[in-house]
Amino acid sequence: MAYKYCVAENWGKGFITHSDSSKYQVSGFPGNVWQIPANSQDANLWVYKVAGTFKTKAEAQAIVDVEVTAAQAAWDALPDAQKQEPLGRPRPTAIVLE
Amino acid sequence: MTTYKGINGFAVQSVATDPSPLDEGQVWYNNATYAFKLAGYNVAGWATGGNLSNSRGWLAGSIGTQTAGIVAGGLNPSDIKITNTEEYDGTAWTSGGSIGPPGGIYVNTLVGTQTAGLSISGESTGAPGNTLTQKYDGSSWTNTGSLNTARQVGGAAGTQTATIYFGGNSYPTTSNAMENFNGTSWTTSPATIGTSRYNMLGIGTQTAALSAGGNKDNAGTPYGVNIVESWNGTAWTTGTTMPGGKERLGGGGTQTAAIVFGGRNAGTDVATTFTWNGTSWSNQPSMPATKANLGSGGNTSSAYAAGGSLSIPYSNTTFEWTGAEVATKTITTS
Repeated sequence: MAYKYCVAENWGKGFITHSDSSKYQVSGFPGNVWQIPANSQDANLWVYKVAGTFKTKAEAQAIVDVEVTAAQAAWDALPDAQKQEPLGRPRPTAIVLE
Repeated sequence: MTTYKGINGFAVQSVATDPSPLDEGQVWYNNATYAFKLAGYNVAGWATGGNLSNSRGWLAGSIGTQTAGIVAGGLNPSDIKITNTEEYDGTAWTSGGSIGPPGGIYVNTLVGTQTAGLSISGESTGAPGNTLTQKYDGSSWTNTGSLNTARQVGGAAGTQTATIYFGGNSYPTTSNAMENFNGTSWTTSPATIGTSRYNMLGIGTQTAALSAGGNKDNAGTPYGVNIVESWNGTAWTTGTTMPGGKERLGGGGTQTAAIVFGGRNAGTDVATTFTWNGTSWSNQPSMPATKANLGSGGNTSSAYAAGGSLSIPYSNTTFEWTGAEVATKTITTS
């Protein structure tokens, strides 16, 4: 399936409605990046409803990478005891957008 | 001209209040709101709900409903244990009473309701697991009888006054033990779950429960299992496995009508949703984003998934599940 990407701030209630999700899948990633099916009129209209800004896949990936890198740096600064599963926190892993 | 009466043999009723229960395909005129209405079918899916005031991860258990939910404790974005409680009304989160101990707690298993909740075990001292049990009355948390065996991230099912707690991890041992809570104290049960594991979800009541998913590898291998076990008040039996493995999952419902969502499998957070009808599991639409070690509650008709994640920064989002249902729709012309 082909996807499009946008950046939009999730303000909470009403950002994605039940009516929206009954028509298409919106998937969220770090950095307020949202993935929608490319060939859906409803999904494309949703981006406008939430005041989103379309991004190319490369731009969206770059935003996600910045967030993941920051989270990894924060994890690296944690004491060793906090890093190992199951007691500790796993290092945030890279996310590759489809 | 084709008419409704011609098709159905009767005219559209004019009523002052919408009928209940609804019959799919039913049409009526509401003369109080001057609107033609239809009993239509809503497909199941997720929507966003109100955001938490405090981002938090490392939550556990299933408590309350979509319109009366609760999260308590967890880790904040600075990776520090917190005591903060938040309550959800289906629209927004508001502050509740502080959960103990004063230094904060996380992965405490929540069960019960927003006004009669129970928090079982958790990590609060740096040692893995404890016996701490706390009650919530909608305003304040108070300590009550302690678990007999210290462990954490076991499953729980029931109410504040009638709960079972099973499995869990008391490093380096993974537990299969079960204890019963009567509102005051815990009693070790002679029954045990079939597969020792932790990070599973308990669903149902003290006498009719499910134990779904979890992790059975005490070496900490980060994978979720699809194991389901069923409790009838006397013994655990192996149930139908879920369509996929999950640990650190959320959900709710009953032994015969359950929903599970999110969690973690093979070291990766997942957004998948499964429902159980007492006979088989079904794949459902996924959440808008992944969540593991999340706050959750509800049932197959409506549920909530709040906060979550194992890694900083933790989430402040809430997702709301609405199951497939026949619902009132207003007929418009345009």
